[in-house]
Order: sequence, then C-alpha cells, then structure tokens
Amino acid sequence: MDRVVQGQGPLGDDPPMFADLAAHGLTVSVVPPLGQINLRGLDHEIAQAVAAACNGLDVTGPTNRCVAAGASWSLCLGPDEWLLVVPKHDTNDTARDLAAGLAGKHASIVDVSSNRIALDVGGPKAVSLFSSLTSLDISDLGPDRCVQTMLAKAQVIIHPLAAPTTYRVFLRPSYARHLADVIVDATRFL
Amino acid sequence: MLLIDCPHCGPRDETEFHAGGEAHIARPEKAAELTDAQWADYLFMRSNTKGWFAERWVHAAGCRRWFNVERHTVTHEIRRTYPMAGAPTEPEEGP
Repeated sequence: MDRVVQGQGPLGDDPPMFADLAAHGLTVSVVPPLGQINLRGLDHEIAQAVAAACNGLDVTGPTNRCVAAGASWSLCLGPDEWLLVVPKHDTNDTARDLAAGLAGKHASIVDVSSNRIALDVGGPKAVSLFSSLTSLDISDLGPDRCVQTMLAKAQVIIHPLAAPTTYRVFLRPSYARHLADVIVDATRFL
Repeated sequence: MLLIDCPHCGPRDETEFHAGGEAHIARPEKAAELTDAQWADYLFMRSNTKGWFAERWVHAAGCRRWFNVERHTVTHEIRRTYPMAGAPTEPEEGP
C-alpha cells in the first residue's frame, strides 16, 4: 500500500516570521509538500517514457532548462539528470509509471520528496532580495530556465514561476531555518 | 575570487566549486602489475607547474559535474574549460 507522509516541514506551514515581509515588498510562503523524483539517464533514451508518465513533459534540452506540463515540472539539473516535481499525491504513481516505461533502459528513478522543501518568494523586491544574497543576476532568468547556486552558503535551486515577480526556491530542510532567518534579515536593506 | 565558466551552468563564483587536482592522470591499466613505487607515483606525485596548468574542478553547488580547467598558476587566469574527456591544449613552443 502506498504510504504518503504528510506533515510540517522545518518551518511549519505558515511561519509567523514571514508575516511582516509584505511591508518590505516581499512575500515568502512555504510551499505545501511536493512530490520530487530524481531521474537520471540519457535524454534521447528516456524522453518518450517521461512524456508518457508525466502529461507530455519534455526533458530534452540543455542543463538548467525547466519546463512545465500541467501541474508537473521538469528541472534539468545536469546533462543526464532531472528533478521532476509533481503533486505530492501523484508521486508514487508517477514513479511507478516511469519505472514501467524505462524498464530495461539505463536509468535511475529515486523519490527524493524529502530531500528539499520549497519556498515561494515573490513581490516587487524579490529580485533585490536575490541580488543581496547571490552574485548571479536572477533578473536575467528566463521563464524556462532554473539556476542552481548558493544563497547565504545554502545550496538552492531557483526557478521562476512568474518572473520577475515570483520564484520558487528549493532548499535542503536542514538549511531552511537558516535561510529564512537570512531572508528576514536581508529585508532591512531592501 | 575566480570566475569559473562551468560548461553546463555558465560563469559562477569559485565558492560554488571544489578543486580536484591535476587533470589527465590516467589510471594504470594493469595496476596489479605495478611496483609500489610506480603505484605511489600514480597516486601521489603531481607536477608543480608554473604557468598553464590543466586541473579538475567540480561544480559542487550547481550541476555537480566534473570538468577540466586550464588555469595559469601565477596569474590565475582561466583560458579554457572543457569536458572531462576533452584533450588539453598543446603547450606552446618555446623560443
């Protein structure tokens, strides 16, 4: 029987520390748990199976490309690695469909839903916030690009949901409190 | 700080990378037949180059892929990054 673990992440569902950020032109919210599947293989070998399992999701293209299909996202983390982000309740079915479609192929499918949590960072000051935390120019990020970098020494994946105003930040749960504190602190200088 | 051009992610700060030492050191095909001195030479002995130097780096905070960098050990200038399977630039002829 499939077991779906539900529960609060390290920041809780609605941390009060983010409540006052709107006054600084920033909104930060904790995204409800997402299904995350790490997929490895060669794109020309796995693209068809991924499309069949994930509503036509296209995993071809360069590293750091991100593409959506319905409620699913594909973030290309490397030349042979993707993070598939799907609704939490679809995780097991998607992994099972991928495994069936990729049977006999040289590929790896791992449920990494607990590996990262996500924050949605938005508002007119969102780009300014990133500018204060990383040397990368996030405002250049196109809607089909994600970026893997460090924010305040925490490794993150940033992908624009509606650039330049809303970005989703994936980060390791153990760094969540640290990065949340840094974000709140950075608003003093926005 | 070095600005390293990751072949997959583009130019990034050095802090996102880890250095992996000298590049293009092939593992001996018949390691079991080596003497201890030959094995130690493979494991530990590295060139101490003054000038252009091919070395391995990994984009640890990004795509987590290894690649090669040609860096000048005096000026720290980076003239080229290329895949692990790529060939190093031929050394220039002296005067």
